[in-house]
Amino acid sequence: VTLRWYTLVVDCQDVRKQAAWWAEALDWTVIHESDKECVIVPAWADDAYIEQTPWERVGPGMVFVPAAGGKPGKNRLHLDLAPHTSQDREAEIQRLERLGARRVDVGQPDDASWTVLADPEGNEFCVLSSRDS
Amino acid sequence: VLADPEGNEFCVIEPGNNFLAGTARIGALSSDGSQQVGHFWSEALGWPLVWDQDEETAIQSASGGSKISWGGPPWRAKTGKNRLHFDLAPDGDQAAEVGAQHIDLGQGDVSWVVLADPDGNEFCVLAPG
Repeated sequence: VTLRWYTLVVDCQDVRKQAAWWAEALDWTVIHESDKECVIVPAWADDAYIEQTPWERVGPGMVFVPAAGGKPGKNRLHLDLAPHTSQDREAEIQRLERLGARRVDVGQPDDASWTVLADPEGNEFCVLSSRDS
Repeated sequence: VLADPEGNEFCVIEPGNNFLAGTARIGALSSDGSQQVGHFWSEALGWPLVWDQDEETAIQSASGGSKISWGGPPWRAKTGKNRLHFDLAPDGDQAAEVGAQHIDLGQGDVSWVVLADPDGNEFCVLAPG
């Protein structure tokens, strides 16, 4: 492996709010918080996990950084989230909507198996059909 | 893989196909992008291509985890700097050489290197350590 995908960087108007929102949405943990940068990682990725996992196998976190300017059109990168088959997918989507996500139309087909949402700053993401692996 | 009466190969993908099997709660990062950019990232991260058809590409680490996918044409024009980008960390002090273009986003004198992939998507390679 040449390079490790270390983190996904998200440009924000409000880094603290966006980090808190995504931490809540994904059940991740905020591990660093300042006006210039907020970092979230999976709640299960603790020190013990990092220590026993080969460097190149540790998955990415998310970093929220301040950025000037608005959002020009649909993002070219977006996250796909997947509920487990044991979960109530619709309830999970409603939970995200209660947190402040809204449903958006990016031209997806009417019968799409995925639901397109946007976070409070308008970044598009999808909730896919439920799956068990 | 089957073939039609004229010998054109096609695949029947079973219902509930397992494209995202073995991925975590973040199943995938989906992107607008070309086949070339999928191949570029496969090389840069050392992640095998797990899908490469009709200019759609997807890659996944050999050890599993989230996939990254590119939808192929048609894609929307890129307008301004992407709001999401990757930060990559080099292994040890090995200098990263992935054949990408250096770009200036006004980052100034910083410890990381700002590059762009073949589609112009910005990414950073962090300092070793």
